[in-house]
Amino acid sequence: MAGVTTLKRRITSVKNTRQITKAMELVSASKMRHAQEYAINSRPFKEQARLLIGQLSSVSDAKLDDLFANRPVKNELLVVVCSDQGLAGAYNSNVLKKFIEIIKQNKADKINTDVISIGRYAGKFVAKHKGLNHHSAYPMLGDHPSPQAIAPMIEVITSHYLQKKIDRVKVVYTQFISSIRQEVVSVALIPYLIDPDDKKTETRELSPLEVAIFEPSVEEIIESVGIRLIEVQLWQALLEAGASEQSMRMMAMKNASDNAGDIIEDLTLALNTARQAAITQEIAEIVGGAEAVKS
Amino acid sequence: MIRLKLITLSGMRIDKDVYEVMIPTKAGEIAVYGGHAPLIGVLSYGIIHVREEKSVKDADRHATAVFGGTIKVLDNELIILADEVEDLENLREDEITKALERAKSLKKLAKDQVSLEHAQEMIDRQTVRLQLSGLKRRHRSKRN
Repeated sequence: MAGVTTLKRRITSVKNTRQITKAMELVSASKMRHAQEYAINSRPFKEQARLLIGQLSSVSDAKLDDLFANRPVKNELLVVVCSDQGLAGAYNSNVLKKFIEIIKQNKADKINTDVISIGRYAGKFVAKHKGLNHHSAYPMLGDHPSPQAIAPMIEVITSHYLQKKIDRVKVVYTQFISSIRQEVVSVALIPYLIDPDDKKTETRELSPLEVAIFEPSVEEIIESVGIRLIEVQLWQALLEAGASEQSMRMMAMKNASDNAGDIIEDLTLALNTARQAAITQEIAEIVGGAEAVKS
Repeated sequence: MIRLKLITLSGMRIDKDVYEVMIPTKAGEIAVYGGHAPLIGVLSYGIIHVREEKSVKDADRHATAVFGGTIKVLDNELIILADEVEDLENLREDEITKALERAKSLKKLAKDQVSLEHAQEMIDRQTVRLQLSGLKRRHRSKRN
């Protein structure tokens, strides 16, 4: 059995660790609330922009626009979103697992993969991975994100797409569902794809838009909305990722604090046993000594 | 009456039935009432005036500065997807005037097309903000 002093030292050390993880849990809980608020607030904009593009793409002129064109894919750009800091449980490894899956699939389909990494963890990982064209690396959004922060990324992405250097852009990020549930998803950013849910609304509202007035012209509207939609989708992805990161960090830290509590309990029990054993032994020695003197 | 939804990236700003909305678009300023024909347009820099009831006077309309975006009128619903908005409360006229001066001097110094456009954008923005804060001042003096 370990000595009493060693056990005491270990208990103090675990208690210190628990203090840190507890503090981190509280910090990320408060950050999570803000991040969630940001993510949820910008959802209506994204939904409306998506709906509008869905409706616009049913207007025949819109199909001509490059941002809606489905070309055969030879080069794909992946935007992978991780965190700047660790200690968030499986957050980063989940994203990177999905990322590897896509790369493997692309290799099998003979598609070249370019990567833009967001977050320090993604950057480090992609840099180490061979056979990828690491396009550029950006830090993750801070605690108070501003839409201007993604302007340079959008500029790079759209210009490369329009110059036909890339044929498809996908974002890999963690979708925030609830504080305890997050899911890694990959979403097509360009070309814009209408999913089956959107199709319903599209057909329902197809006729009114056919007769709609376009001011100044369909082309100009698509130019302004198209880029905006890409921007808002990437922006939303980053906000969702931010909210997920904080939630997962909070859960990880909560588990760490709980585990530390368990360890402290076990160690205290061991310490008490050891102390009691020492006392019992001392008494036995004293009694034994006294008996020896008597006889 | 028409349903007005003013949506920005930071959330839904306005969501209610109103009588009239004046909107600055690239093709000029338009007014939208209930029963408007389907319309899709591009928002320019300017001020959106919202008249909630017919009886509301011009000076009492709700004013918000917008800096670009898209509008859609469909099924008696006006959706404004604004890139950026600014409300009256946050404006300080002296600061805006200074910013406008700075932007104008930047425009003079601009050497290439990009910086010229950038300076022009700043001038437009500050002009709109100045207009909005001017509105605020006038309203106040009328009430007093």
